[in-house]
Amino acid sequence: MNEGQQRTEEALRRIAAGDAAGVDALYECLGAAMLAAATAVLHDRFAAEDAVQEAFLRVVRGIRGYRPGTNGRAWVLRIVRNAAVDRLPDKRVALTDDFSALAPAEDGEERAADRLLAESLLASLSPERRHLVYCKYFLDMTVRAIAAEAGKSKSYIHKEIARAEEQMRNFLRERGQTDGRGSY
Amino acid sequence: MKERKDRELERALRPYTEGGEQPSPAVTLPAKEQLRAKQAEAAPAAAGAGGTVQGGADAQKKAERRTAIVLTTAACLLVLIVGLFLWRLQESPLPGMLLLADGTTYVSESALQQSTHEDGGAECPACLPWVEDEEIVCCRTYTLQKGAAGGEPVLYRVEYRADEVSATVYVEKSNVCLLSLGEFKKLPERHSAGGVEFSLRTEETCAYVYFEAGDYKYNLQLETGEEEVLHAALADIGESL
Repeated sequence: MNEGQQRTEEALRRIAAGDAAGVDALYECLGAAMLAAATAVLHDRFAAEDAVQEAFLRVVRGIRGYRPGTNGRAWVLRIVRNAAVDRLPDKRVALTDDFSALAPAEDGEERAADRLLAESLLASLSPERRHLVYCKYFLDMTVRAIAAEAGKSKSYIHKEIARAEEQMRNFLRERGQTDGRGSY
Repeated sequence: MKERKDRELERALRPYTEGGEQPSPAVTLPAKEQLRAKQAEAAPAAAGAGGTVQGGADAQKKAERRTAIVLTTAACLLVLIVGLFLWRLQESPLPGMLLLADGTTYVSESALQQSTHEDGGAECPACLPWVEDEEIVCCRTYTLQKGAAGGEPVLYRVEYRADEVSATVYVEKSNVCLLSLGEFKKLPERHSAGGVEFSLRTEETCAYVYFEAGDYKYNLQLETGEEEVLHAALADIGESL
């Protein structure tokens, strides 16, 4: 469990204990990701903030549904996404094509370079594969959940994600960005 | 199916996975209010729960006390029952006797004691009206070893010879059942004579007969295998009763 996951876990633990400071802690560690997840669905900043507000409420109400030690980030972002989808008129999620909301708006020079790399990486993918990468890497969705949402088979989603990952690895290799350790 | 993230790709995508701008801090207010409201509700409930805990402890103590009383009572009753049983065992005409709830006393031979033994010339018991005194070869009476009906005979064993046929009859009082005579109660054939219902089984040289009359049960062994002789003997018995 990395530092971010630990902070998320601690925030959720405090919310479960009835500590309102847990909400602030969750805002600190996942607020930006929550807003980005909502924006990716709604494509509207104000509507996304409303969805995030609703998501915080749903987290507090449904905290007993969270099993400590599992993926807290994925659990929270799924709630955000559902809250956002509930605000869509037809409740159908369009493929996420605009990642501008995900990245920090104000970067230092180094972060700007990282952001540029990430943007280039995602831009190298087709919209469908980009969406799959978004679901896996940003929303922490499982292949099963992605397949269910996309209405495709698990094996198809698994293969498509593997191809997208291979494509991105090739991209990084060409750019000389890999450190040779490969995947785990 | 592996779903792990590629570490290099995750690192490259981190600017995105960590998100961009923070939403307004106001988005957390309703959630915090709800959490505080829940806590405020929970506080009195917790105080009540403290009372409930105390009440629960009292209830548990009461339940334990009740259980102890029930167990003690049960133990006392058990001791009483065992004592009564031992007392009855001591007082009963044991060994070899079993008194059942229907009032019948099932006895083995060891529970009987011979009270009289007369050979030829003995007076025939009143329960054997078809036997003449002079026909008696041997007559024995038995009483229960202890305390039953003032020492009255409960079993007669009479050997007699009438019309060239030797016979042995065991006569039980109706409320006594000698276990060794149990087979007589299961004889398969039926015969009726003089208003008496006989159960019987005939063999080559003897016949076994069982019947009940008045206050007695008769277990008769006739030393004849001839049907005519047997039926004549039974007719004589039936008429006498």
